[in-house]
Amino acid sequence: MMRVLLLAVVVLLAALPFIADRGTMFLAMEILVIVALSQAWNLPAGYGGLLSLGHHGFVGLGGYALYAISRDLGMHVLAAIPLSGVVTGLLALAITPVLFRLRAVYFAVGMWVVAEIIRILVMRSDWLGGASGMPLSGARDIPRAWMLPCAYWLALANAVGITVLVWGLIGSTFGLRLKALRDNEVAARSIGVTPHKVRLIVFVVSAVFTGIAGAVTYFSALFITPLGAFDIGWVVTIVFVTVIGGMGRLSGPFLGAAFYFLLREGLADYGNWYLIALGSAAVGVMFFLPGGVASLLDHISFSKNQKKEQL
Amino acid sequence: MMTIEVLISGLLLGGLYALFGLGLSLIFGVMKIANIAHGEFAIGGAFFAIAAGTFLGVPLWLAVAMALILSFAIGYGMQILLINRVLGDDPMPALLMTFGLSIIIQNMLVELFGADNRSLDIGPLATIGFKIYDIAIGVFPLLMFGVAIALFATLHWFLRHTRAGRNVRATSDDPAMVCIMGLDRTRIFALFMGVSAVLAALAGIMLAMRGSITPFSGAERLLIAFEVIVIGGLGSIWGSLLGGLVLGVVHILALRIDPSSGPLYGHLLLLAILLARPEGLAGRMEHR
Repeated sequence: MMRVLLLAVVVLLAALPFIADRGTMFLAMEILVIVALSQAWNLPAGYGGLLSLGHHGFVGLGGYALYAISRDLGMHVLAAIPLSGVVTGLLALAITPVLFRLRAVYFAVGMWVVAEIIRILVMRSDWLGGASGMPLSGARDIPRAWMLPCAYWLALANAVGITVLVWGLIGSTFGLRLKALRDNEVAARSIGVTPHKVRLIVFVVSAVFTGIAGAVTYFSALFITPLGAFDIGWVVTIVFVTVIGGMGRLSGPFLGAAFYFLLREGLADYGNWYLIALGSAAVGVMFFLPGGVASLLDHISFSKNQKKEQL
Repeated sequence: MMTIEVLISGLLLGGLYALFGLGLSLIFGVMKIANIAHGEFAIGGAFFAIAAGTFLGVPLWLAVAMALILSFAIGYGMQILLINRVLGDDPMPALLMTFGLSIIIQNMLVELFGADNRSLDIGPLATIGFKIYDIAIGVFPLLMFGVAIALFATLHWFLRHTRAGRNVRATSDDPAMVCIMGLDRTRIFALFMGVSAVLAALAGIMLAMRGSITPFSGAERLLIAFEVIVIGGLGSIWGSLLGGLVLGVVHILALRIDPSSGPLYGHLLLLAILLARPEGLAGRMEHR
């Protein structure tokens, strides 16, 4: 029953471009991107304890990969978007030999440094337009009126895709191995869990979907600059959304994103105050409700299903 | 001659970097957590000093003193009220909480002071210098370096040769045992967060005297502090000094050879160290 209901919601969301105006659709796309980003970040961080403060590097990489592929390889822009995710994943794979020497807080800040390196390299690269950025040459592949609907559908597919994937992974034995590693690495190793392999998989999967989300965002923007694409603000949003919604919970990114957009739109006239409010909310949640808003739902109803999800 | 000049100005800048690292290293050492708000402590301290100078019109030394006292109070208060309560075996809640605090502080600074460049005017001291064998040395960089070294020495003396310092080291080694012996570790932690905030603020103030800052300068200071302690190696505060000096020389050298590189080579050095010598230049092998 639950699954039918969720499927109906997805179908309804897919029909949005036929009923909503441009402003609504743009906001909806943004929400879906934030949900996908948080879900992708939550996989290694919430379930695996592999917390990164450098995911803005993957957002920017995905965006730039799209622009480079569609300009230099002559590939159709819609085909280039998933490929941008693959490029981002490969780069994530390439940096693991160095990054996986770090644990816990060192990994988190180490990722941040890696994102900074990527940003500086992109800013210095004439091939990628340097500090002033570049336009999307693949924009002519699609009629103008279809740009935003296409971006929206891609964002929807990406958000649904990562959610289903995380749901599948967490329910499987792989998910048990991942959570065992987070909770007690020594005990997990002793029963035959290979930490490196498990962490590698979730980290690369996370990078792929983060890269696609970046590509979708900058596909709809038609122009990319290093300052925007590699903005630490991406990580700030992702972390706050996930922490407020609930780390290591499938519904966390949805609840957190709802909170984030309500707050942002509500305080739209007050400059940076929404960030202060958001930060305070995140600190407050860590304090009073370590499992996030999602855990509040568990408190209200104690059905067997939700207890299972809590594990 | 040019190489020696680069080396000297690199070492002098490195003293300031080391000071950024020192405060963070203390927190790492005593509480085993990362304070992501360390850069904001530094920049916030500098902004307090600027605000005291502009709005209250007090002389520079008093503005600095007020900023340092306020920084201590904020560090102490934050630890007592917030961070102490999320400490445990898992360092991640503290990491996320300090990350949240850093964003709150940063945006408060934007709201209070705007996003413009600011600096602390130190008058003619900024420009005077002298020459030894044709090598120009500024008086102010030398002074900053002296302050940094003096603070390292003071902290070393405190940790190694005082009763309170022994308590701190014991807390770092075995917090449970220290509790059994009747020490209140939450107060020790709060004291150290206060001291760390003062060290950060002092480094931030010297940064604002040397050049200019914006409310967004904190992130880069945090990364520098992080690189200083990882490059130098954990375990001793002297590792931070070594890391700071190395990073300072690398930054100045990079600025001469490749002026548009910014902090790129410092970041790359961090990765190189992690590959070649993960325990850091002066560190013991430790689990990270």
